[in-house]
This record gives sequence, structure tokens and C-alpha cells, in this order.
Amino acid sequence: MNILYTLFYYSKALLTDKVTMVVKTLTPILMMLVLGAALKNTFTAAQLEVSNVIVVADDTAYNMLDKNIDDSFLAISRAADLDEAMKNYNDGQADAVIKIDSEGSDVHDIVAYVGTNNNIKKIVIGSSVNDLKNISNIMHALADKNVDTDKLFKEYCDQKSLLSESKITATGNIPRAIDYYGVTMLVLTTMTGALIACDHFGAIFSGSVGKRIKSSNMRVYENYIGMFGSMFLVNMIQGTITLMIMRYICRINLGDNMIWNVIIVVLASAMATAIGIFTCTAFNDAKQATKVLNMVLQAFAFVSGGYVKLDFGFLKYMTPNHYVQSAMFQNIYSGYGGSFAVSIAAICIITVLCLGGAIILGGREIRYGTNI
Amino acid sequence: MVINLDKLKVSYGDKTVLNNYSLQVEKGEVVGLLGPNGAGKTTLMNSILGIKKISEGKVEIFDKDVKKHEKEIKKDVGYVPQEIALIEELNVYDNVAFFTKLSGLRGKEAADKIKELLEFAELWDRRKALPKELSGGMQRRLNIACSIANHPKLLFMDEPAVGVDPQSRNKILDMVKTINKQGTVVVYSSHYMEEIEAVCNRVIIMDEGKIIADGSCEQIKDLIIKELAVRLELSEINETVIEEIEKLDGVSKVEEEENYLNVITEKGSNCLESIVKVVFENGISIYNISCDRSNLETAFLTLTGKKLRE
Repeated sequence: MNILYTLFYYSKALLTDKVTMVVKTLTPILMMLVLGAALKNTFTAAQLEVSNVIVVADDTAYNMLDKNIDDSFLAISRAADLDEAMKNYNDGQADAVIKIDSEGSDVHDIVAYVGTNNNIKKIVIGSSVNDLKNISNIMHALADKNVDTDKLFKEYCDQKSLLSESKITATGNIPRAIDYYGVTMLVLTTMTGALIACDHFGAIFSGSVGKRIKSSNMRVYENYIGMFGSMFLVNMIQGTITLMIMRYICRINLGDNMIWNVIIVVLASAMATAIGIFTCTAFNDAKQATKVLNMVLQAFAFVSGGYVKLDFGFLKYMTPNHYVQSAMFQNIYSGYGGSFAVSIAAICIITVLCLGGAIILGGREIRYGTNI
Repeated sequence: MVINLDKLKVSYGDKTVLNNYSLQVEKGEVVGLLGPNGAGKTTLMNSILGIKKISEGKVEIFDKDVKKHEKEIKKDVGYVPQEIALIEELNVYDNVAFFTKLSGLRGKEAADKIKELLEFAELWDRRKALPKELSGGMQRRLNIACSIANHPKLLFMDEPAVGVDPQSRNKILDMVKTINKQGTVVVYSSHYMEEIEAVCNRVIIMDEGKIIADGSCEQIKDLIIKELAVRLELSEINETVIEEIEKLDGVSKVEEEENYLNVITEKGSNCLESIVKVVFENGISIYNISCDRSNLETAFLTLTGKKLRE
């Protein structure tokens, strides 16, 4: 019962701290929006923006293109010659230049100059050029066999299948910047629960209330589990609120399985709380522990790619953030890498180890006896 | 025996704060630990309570070894820390409720106890207030109410009235007396001798982790009293009366100060009656007589060479 009373009264106390609640909930959303906007070019765009292409071609080739191109992907304009096309391109009027040279030859020589940094646009333009080359080659081959290529070409064009066979979708497995930072900031804010747990636990347990509790007949594990429960509950609520805001207000792509997202946030909240309590107990000095934890959490976030999408190789496996991020990305974009089950198991193991370690250390600290 | 400390040794790093410290406390006592800051009062309490580890020695409470019967013993022990030990985000009622429920009371029994404690601390009307909304004295009283939620048989109070106004201090001292009357042994630490004199029937003067003196207030004072100063306000003073008083047995010194005659007598000489007789025989009227006995402050200064609030 002592565990339940501790959980109830400390939760009540923590939930009245509205400022911390609001700040902790809104900070990751703000960071997500800032980082998402600032670093969006390092990510693949999710929407297929129209690629502007300047075409240098004779009438036949240009008409063929103009008739059959899907203008939701490509917007083509014509230039008289390559010099004019390149000038316009250099002026930033286009993402690429395509030159279709068929003069004096049956073979269409197709050259593309692609200058955009946008991966999707590169793919669209590249795909279009390849299709043009294929069509050109086929027509040329069929012409050699005396096939009526004009008729065939007309039929082909009528099907409007020039690009349809290699459609590109961005709604599948690749996150936008804001989606990526949505997840990493959610992980970061959940892990910030460790800091709050350390701070609160230190204030209570290392402070004067702690003295009163230590001098009472309450068992160490009762107090630790009760306090863990209350802080976990608060972290979990904050994390879940943040998750919901991201999903339903900020429209972050969190996949279709929200239940697993919530479960991951709940487990991550438990892990963060346990880490905070363990650190505070290990240092036996809340201020010192908070300082160290503050630095360590930032390092964890950085190494796990929370701020910048970098791969630190083996090092990332040393950070608890990695397992939470990994689990979330696997849930949202299945096949992100690693194993979902391993990530979930790792989160649970870290939680149990930290909480168990804290209880053991805490027991040694306040037990009667000689100095340890 | 309520407390039995045997050759207790407690250190902070290399510094030994309590060394070879032995103490016995009996039922019914209110033991005052008197000493300046750093004397070891808080360390002693924390060591007995298990908050501070002991290096050597034995601690028994209610005739039981605390190492072996920790949970059983702590059930009957209360502690009022020197700092305000309250959960700031919880209101007055919830603070008391939390500690009351931790003591094992449930339901109506717990609700009655909470009300009783808040009425005892005169805080029932402020039960919905947060601790920060209370005055310093109220916070101290709430601090005490939370500490006695388990109705302890032994209560440690570490400077419970520090920093409060005289009215609040008197209320707190009344609370301590009432708690003791209800059967709780109190160990009360302070560096205010007025508090100790007001509530304690036994005083332990501590300095640098050692017991300098142990006894009732009167016994402690007697330890240092070797002389008694008698001050007489007279209608007139002449050489004859001074010489005759000087000749009395037990009188060691006579000094004239305007209309006052200061007579220093030896402890236990009982010569006050003779002094008064000499004055009357010389036809001099006595307007006022006062005898200056030592207080605990003087005793402490004499025994340790330090002032209490150095």
C-alpha cells in the first residue's frame, strides 16, 4: 500500500507543476518545427514537386514529349538551342535541360543536364530521360524491321504510359525532415524525463523530505517504486500528449499503427525515469547528477542522430535513444533497419537494470551499518 | 531503556564528528541537546535514525539493535528535520495525509488522525493552503504534525523552532510539552538555551562531538556555580556596614556602586540572612534584594569556553 500512496501523492504533486508540463510538452514540438524547416534539404521530399525542364528538340520530339508528359511531374518548356537552354537553366528557371538531337540521324541522341539537389526530382527527370531513350531505341529498332512506327508510336502515346510504368511514390518508406525530427524530438523529450526524474527524485529523496522518509519504517523498494511510478506516469502523460499533438495537429507521419507508437512512448518514459533515478542515486548528489545527466542526454541525442542525421556506427547502440528511435522508425517505416523486437527488449532491459540498480544502491546508502 | 548508544563513532571522510559517544535515554524524558553549530547534534540524531552511517559502536532503541530490527523500530520513531520537510506541491491536508497513511492508518481512522494532527498544530483552517502560503511558524508546526503522524514513542526534533517569531516558538514549545505528556520521549536539539530550559528535563551539552555535561538544568548550572552574587539596594551605604559584611563567614567580596551593595558569597554559605541582619542593625533600609544565579548560557560558556551561537 505504501507504494500506491507514494505513487498517488507524488503524482498529484508532480501534476500540479503545470509550467514544467507545458514547457516539456511544447519544447520538442518547437524544436521539431525549427529543425524540420532548417534541415529539410538533407531529407527526401515527400511530395512530388513539379520539375521544370527546358527541352531542346525538333518539333517531332518536342510534340511527342509535350503530348505525353504528365504535367504533375514535369513542366517542360522549349528553348531554341542549347545555349539559350543553358542560360535559362543557369538563371534558375529550370531543374534540368534535356537535349534531344535527331537531326541527320534516325537515332535520337538524348542528353540531360540535371542540376537539382532534390532527390525526387532527380529520379523523376532521370526516369523520364531513360524512358525517352528506351522509346527512341525501340522505335529505331522497329523502323529497321519495317514496322509502321508512326502507328505504333501513336498507339503508345494514346496509352499515355510514358511515365506511368515507373511511378514514384513518396508516401512509403522515406521520412520528410519534419517526420524525422518529429520522431527524434519526441524521443528527446521522452528522454528528458530522465532529467526531470533525477531532479525531482533528488529534491525529494536527497532533501529534507527524504530524511523524513529514510527515518520512517518505509522500505527502500517501496519508496523507489512509488516514486518511480509517479514520475513515470507524469513522463508518460507528457510523452503521449506530445505524440498526439505531433500526429493530429502537426500532421507528422507516424505511420498507421498509433497503438505501438503509444506503447513505445510509454516504455521509453519508464526507461527515462529509471535512468534519472539511477543517476541520482549513484551520484548521491542531485545537483551533480542533473548536471552530468544533462550533458549525457544531449550526447545520447546527438550520437543517435537526434539533431543531425549522422551514423555513428557502433556508438549509437550505446545510447538508449537509439533503441527508442529505432523502434519508432521501424514501426512507422517498416524495414528502417535493425529489429523492432530487439529495440523493445533493449528498452525494457535498460529500465529494469536502472531501477533495480537504483534500489540496490539506495538500500546500501540508507541502511544502518558501517561505512561502505 | 529508550535509547542506548554505546561507543558510537561517526565520521565525515577523515573527520570524526562523534567519537566514543555513549548515551542512555529513559522513558518520559525530554532530552535537550545543547551545543553550537557543528557540535554534532544533527549528526547524532541522523546516526541514531539511520540516515548517517556509523563507523563503530552500537545503537539500541527500545532495547533492540537497530541493525537487526530496523523496520520494527522505525515504526515507533518520528523525526522533525531541521529543514522544513514538506512536499511543496501538496496542500497542508495532503502533506499530513501522506505521512499518516504511510504510518499504516486507513479510512476513517486515518481521516480522524489527520484532523487531530491539524487541530493540534492549529492548522485545520488552513488545510487547503500550500506550505509556501503559510507563515514560517505555521510551516514549522506542520513540519511537526507530519512527524508525529505515526504517534511515535520516540521523537527526534532537530531545531524545530529555528527562525520563528517568539509567539510561534511558544506554540511549538507547548506542542513539545504536550507530545511528551502523551508518552513520547523527545530528543530536542537547539542552540537556544531558552528553548531547552523551557521544555527539557535533561540537558546534554555537546561540543565537538563530545558530551561536556549531562543532567537536569539545575544540575548543569550547579556544576559551574561557585559563587552567588547578592545585590542590595540600600537607603544609604557607610564604611561600617561594608566592613561588618566583609567579616561575615562565606562573604568573599563586597563592592559599593552608588546606592547598591554587591556582595559575592561562596556557594552554599547561606549567609544572606546574616547580611540582611547587619544592614538592619546599622539602621539602613533595604529597598531591593536580588540574587544572580547562573543560567545555561553562562554554564555553556564556562564549560566550553564558547558562546552558544558562535
